[in-house]
Amino acid sequence: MRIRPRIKWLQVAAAVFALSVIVSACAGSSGSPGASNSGSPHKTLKIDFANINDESAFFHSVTQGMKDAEKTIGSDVKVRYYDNKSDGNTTLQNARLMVNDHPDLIIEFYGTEAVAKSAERLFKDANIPCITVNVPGAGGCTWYDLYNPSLCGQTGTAMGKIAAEKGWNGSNTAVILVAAASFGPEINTCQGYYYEELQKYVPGITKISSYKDITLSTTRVGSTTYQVNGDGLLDKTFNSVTNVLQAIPSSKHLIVYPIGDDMAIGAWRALDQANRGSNSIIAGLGGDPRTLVQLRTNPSWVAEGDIFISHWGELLLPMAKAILEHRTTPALTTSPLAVLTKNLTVPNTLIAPMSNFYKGSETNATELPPLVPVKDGDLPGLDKQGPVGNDYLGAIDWLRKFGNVSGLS
Amino acid sequence: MAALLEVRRVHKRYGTTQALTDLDFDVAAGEAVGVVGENGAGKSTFAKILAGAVVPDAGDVFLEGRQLQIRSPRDARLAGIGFIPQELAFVPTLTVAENLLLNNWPTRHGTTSPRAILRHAARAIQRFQIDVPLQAAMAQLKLADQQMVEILKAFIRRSKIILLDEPTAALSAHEASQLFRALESVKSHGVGVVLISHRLDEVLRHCDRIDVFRNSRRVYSAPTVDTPVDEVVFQMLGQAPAMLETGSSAAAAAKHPPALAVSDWQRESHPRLEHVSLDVHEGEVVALFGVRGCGAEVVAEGLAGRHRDITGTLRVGQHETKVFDRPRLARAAGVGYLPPDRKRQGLFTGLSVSQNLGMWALDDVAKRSIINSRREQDLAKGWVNRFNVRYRSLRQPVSELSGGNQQKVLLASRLASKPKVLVLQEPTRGVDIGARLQIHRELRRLAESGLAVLLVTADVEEAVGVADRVLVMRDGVVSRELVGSQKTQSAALRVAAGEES
Amino acid sequence: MTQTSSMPAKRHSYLGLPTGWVTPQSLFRALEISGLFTFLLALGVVFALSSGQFLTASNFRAILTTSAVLGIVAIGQTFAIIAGGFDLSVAGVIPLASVLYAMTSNAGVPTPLAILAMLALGAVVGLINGLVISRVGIDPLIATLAMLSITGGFAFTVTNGVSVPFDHDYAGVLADSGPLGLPVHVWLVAGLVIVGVLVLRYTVFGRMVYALGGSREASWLAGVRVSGLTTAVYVLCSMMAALAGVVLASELLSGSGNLGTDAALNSVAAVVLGGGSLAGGVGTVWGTAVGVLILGTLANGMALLQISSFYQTIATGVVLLLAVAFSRLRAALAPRFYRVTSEFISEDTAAAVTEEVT
Repeated sequence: MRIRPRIKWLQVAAAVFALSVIVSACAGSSGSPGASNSGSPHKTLKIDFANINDESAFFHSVTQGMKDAEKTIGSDVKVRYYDNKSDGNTTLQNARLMVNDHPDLIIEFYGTEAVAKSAERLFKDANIPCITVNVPGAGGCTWYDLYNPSLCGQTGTAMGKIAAEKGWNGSNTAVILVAAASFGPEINTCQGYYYEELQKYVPGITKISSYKDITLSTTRVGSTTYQVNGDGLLDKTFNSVTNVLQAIPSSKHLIVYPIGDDMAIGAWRALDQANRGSNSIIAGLGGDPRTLVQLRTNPSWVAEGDIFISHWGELLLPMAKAILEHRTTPALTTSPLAVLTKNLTVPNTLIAPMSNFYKGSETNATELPPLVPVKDGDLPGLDKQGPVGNDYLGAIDWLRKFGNVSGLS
Repeated sequence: MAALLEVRRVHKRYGTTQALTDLDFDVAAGEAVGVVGENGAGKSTFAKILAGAVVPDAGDVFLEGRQLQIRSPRDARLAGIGFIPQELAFVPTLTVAENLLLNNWPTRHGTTSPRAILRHAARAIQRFQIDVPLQAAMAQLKLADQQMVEILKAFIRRSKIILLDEPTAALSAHEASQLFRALESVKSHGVGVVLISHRLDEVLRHCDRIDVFRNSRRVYSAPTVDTPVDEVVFQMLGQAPAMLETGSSAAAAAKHPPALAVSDWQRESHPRLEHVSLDVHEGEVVALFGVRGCGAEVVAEGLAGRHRDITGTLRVGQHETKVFDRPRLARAAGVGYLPPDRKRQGLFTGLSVSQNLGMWALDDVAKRSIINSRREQDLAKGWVNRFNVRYRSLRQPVSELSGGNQQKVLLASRLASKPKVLVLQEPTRGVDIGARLQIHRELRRLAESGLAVLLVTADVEEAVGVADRVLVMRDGVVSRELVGSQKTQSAALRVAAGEES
Repeated sequence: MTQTSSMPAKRHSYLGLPTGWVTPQSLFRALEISGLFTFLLALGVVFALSSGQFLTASNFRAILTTSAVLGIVAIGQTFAIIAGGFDLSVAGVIPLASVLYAMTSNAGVPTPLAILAMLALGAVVGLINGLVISRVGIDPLIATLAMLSITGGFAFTVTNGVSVPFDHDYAGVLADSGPLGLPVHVWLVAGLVIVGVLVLRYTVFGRMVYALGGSREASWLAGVRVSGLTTAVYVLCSMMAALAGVVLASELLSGSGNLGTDAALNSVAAVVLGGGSLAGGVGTVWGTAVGVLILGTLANGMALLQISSFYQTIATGVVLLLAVAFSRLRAALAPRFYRVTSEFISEDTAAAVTEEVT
C-alpha cells in the first residue's frame, strides 16, 4: 500500500495566496516616499483623476483636456489618470487604488452615482479632499458641474425667442424633449429648466409650474409636449424619435431638445429621414465638434449648449489648488458655459454667437466665457439653494497660464 | 469465399493501454459476423477504426481487394462502410426521410426540396416492404424503429459493409428478431454485416460466424454452427465460468414471514395490472419475468414509488402501507431500487465514483450535513473492492467507467443504503459477460446473507439462472410460479407467450 | 427479405395534400409561426385601438425602418442558432463596420467598393469565429464574447473614440428613399429574408445546417464536413452584422463605436421568438422575421402610447413571454397533425417468441 503525503495542495495554494496578500498590503501601507502634504506652495501637487468613461469620445475629451492643462501648468502639478468605465464596481476599485496612492486631492467623475457614498467614505477615512464632477455625489466632495438651470434654461430662452419670431405657438407646434433615463434624475432636470424658460416665449404651449414637473417617467405634458428616452445613444434616439413622430401630425412645427450630443445627432437624423427637418428647430448639449458643425451649417440647428468640456481640466486643476489652499468654495463651482447660437445675442445671459468663442471653422474654443460671480441659486437635484459660480478661481494664477478666459488679465 | 473486407495487423494504443494488437479480421459478402468479447477487449475500438472515428497506429484495411485510407468518417462513408453506433447517429430534429438520406440528399446544383427528399426516400426503401413513417420527426419514433431507420440509411448509401454496435441492447426479443430479419435481407444483397454484441445467444443464432476478442486480440473465429456457447464463454474469459447454485436457500427462507408482500395491485392505464400479488422472503431471489408490456416493469417501478395510479397495499417488513406514490417513501421504507437505465435514472453522471456511492450512504459519510470526504473514500473503496470494479481513480467521473463497471457501482450504491429489500430492473442490460456473471454471483451471495431480492427482467436466462423462484407475468397478471425442476427457460418463455396457463 | 406480418402500407397524407408538401414537422413549425403571426396581428389590433396614429402608412413605414437593422442581424443569427451555436460578436461588428465604412467612404473610396470592403471585414471576423469554435473547440459563448470585445474595442481605437460623420451624403445610399416610400434598406431586408428562407429550405447547404444543429455527431459520422460548415455559418452571420453596421451608419450618416449595443441580445431573442432553439436544429427565417416585427411593433406602439421607458422594458419582457407561450400553446393544441403511428414493426408477439424458442 502506497503511503501518500497528506498535503492538500489546495490548502497550500490558499496559504501562499494569503501570505502574498498580507505582504503586499504591508508594503503598500508603508507609505510611498515623498508623501504629499497640502498647502506648501512650491511642492508639486499630486492629483488623482478618475474619468467617467474614456471609451466615450465625448468624455474622453475631459482626460485629454486635463493632460493638456497639466502640461501647460508645468511641474507644479502631477496628475494620475483612471477610467471608471461607467461602471460602479470599477469606480469603487479605482477609488481604492487612488486612496492607496495618497494624492493631495482626488477628482472623481463617477462612473455611476450609486457608489458615491462608499467612495466618499473611503476618501474621508483617508483624509483626502476631493472634487466630484457632474453630479453632487454624497456631499463629501466639492461639487463641480455644468449648471442646468442656466445652461438648459437659457437654451430654452434662445429657442423660445427664435420660435416666437417664426410665429410658432401652441396650436401649430409640438415640443419633443429627449431624456437620458440611465443618467439619473439630476442630469434630467435639464429638460425642466429648459421648458420653464421656453414656455415664457412660445405662447400656447402647455405650462408647467416648476421644472420638477418633468421627471424621468414623464412622456407627455399636456397636448403639445412629448418626452422620449434616448439613453444617451445615437441609434436608440433615432428609433425613439422616429416612433414618436408618428404621433405628431406632420403639419406641426417641431421644437426638439435632446440633452446630449449623441442623442441630438440621432434625433436630427430621425427628423431628416421623416422629412420634417426643415420644419423643426433643434439644439444639442455638449459642444461636440459634430454639433458645432451642425450649428454652423444646418439651418434648423439653432442653438448648442456648450460646456467646453475639453477645457474642464483648466478649471479643475486650479479648483484643486484652491481647495488645498483652504480657500472658500461655493456649493457648486460651475464649468464654463455658453448657449451658442448662429447670431443671436442676449445680454447678461449665456446666449452668444458661436463666433465669440470659435474662430473660423475651428471646433476647439480659443476663447472661454468669463468667470461667473458666486451667488445663490438652485442646486439641481438637491432641492435647496446655495452659492453657485466660479469667479473665485480668478485668484489662482494657474488659470492665467491658459490665456483664454475672457475678461481675465 | 473471397473476403469483402479484410483487416490486417491493426494496432491501436491509447497512452499506456493497448486497445488492439496485431488484429486480423475479415468478412465476406453476404456474411454476418458477430464480434463478442468482454469490455475492454477492443471491440468498439475496432468498430470505430472501420468507421473512421479513430485512426489506427498501424495496419491495413482492404475493401474488395483495394486498400483504404480511412482518416475520417467521411472517408469511411465514401468507401462504403456504414456504421451504426450503440447510441445511434441520427438527427432528432429532422424527419425520418431526411435522416434516411442524411448527407445523401437528392440534389441538383446544390438545391434540393422537402418533396424531392421524401420521394427519393420512399423509392429507396420500397423493396423492404416495411412501412416507415417518412414524415415523422425521428425523435418521435421508438428506439427499435429508429434503429431500423439507421440500418436502412446505411443500406441506401450502398454500403458494402454495415457495422452495428450493440444493436439489440435496448430491444425486446420480438423487436430484435425484426432487426435480424432486416439484416437477412441486407445480406441477401451482398452486404457484409458485422455485429458487435453482448448477447451470445443472438449472435450464435443469427450470425454466420462468431469472432471472440480478448485483451486486444482476436482469439477465436469459427462458423457459429460449429460453436457451442460454453466454448465462446471460455474464449471470452480465458477460463470456464462457475455455475450458480440456486434454490438452496429458498426452502429455508419460506419458513420466515415475507420481507416484502405485494397485495392485490391494480392499474388501469397501460401496461395494466390485475390483482397482482407476490411475496419475497428474506434470503431468496425471486424473478419476475415477462415480455415487454406484461406489467412486470410496472411492479418494479411501483415498488420504487414511480407510479401514482396503482391501487393496492404493500408490506415491507412489519410496515403495511398503500402503494408508494413517490420515491421518497419507497426509500424511507427500505426499498433499494435499481432502475433499468443506469445512465439516465440511476447514476449521477456528473459525479465521481466515490461521490455516487456516498450519496446513498449520507448518514455514514456526513456529520451535521458536512460530508467527510475521507470517510466517503473509505466507504467507496470498500465497495469497489468487494465488487471488483475496474477504475482508474475513485475521483474519476462515473461516466468514464465501462457499462459493466457502472452497473456494479450502481448496485453497490443501492446496497450502501442498507435496504431491507432489493428490487432490480434489468440489472445486466448492456453489460459484458464478465461483469454479468459477477453481478449474478453477487445477487446470490446477497440472498444467502439474508437479503430479499426481487429481480425484474426480460432476460430469460438471467431469470432462470439466478432466481430461486420465477414468477411469469402476462398481460398484467401473474400467470404462474415456476420452481425447482419446472424452472426452465423454455417453460418460462412458453408461459410468457401464453402457450401454457 | 422475408416479409413482416401482413400490414397495409400506410401513406401518411396530411390535410389531403400530396405527401411531401406538408410534413408533421413543417406543420408544427407553420402553426408556431402563424401563432406568432397571429400574436403580431393581435398586438397590432391592441395598438390600433389604443392610438389613432398606429394604423397609418407612415407609421408602418416607421416600424419597418426601425426594425430593418435588427432584421439583417437576426437573419444571420438564425443560421448560427440553427447550426447549434450563436454569435454575440454581432454587437461589436456593427459599430466596427459602421466606423470603418464611414472612414473608407470619407477617404474617397466609391460606395459600392466600401460596402464590399465591409462585407469582407465581416467575412474575416466570421472566419476567425468559425475556426476558433470548430477547430480549436472553444465554446461559442466564450469565443464570440471575446470577439465582441475585440471588434467593439477596435471600433473605438480606430477612431480615437470619436464618432465619424459622413463627409459625403451619397455614402448613405442604403438608407435613401426607395419604392413605396420605404427606404432602400427595408427592401434589402425583405430580399434577404426571402433568400434566407429559400436557402434553408431548398438547398443542401440549408439541410446540412439543420443536420449539424440537430446532431453534430450524426452529421460527422454521416460525412458532413463539420468544421467547414460551422465556419461558413459564422462567416455568414458576421457578414450580415457588417451589412447591418453599414445600413445603420447610412441611416445616421455617421459611424460610431456606440452603435448596436443591444444587437446581440435582441437578435437572439428574435430568433428564439421565431421558433429557434438554442439547442440547435430548429428555427426558420420566417419566424425570425415575425419575431423582429413583434419587437419593432412593440417599441413603436409603446412610444405612440407614451409609455415611460421604465415600463417599456418591463412590458417588452412580459410580451415576449406571452408571445412564445401563445405560439407554443397554439401548436400544442393541434395534436392531430403530429401524433404519428410510430409502430412500424408489427406486434406479432406470439409468432416471434415461438420462433425464438424452437
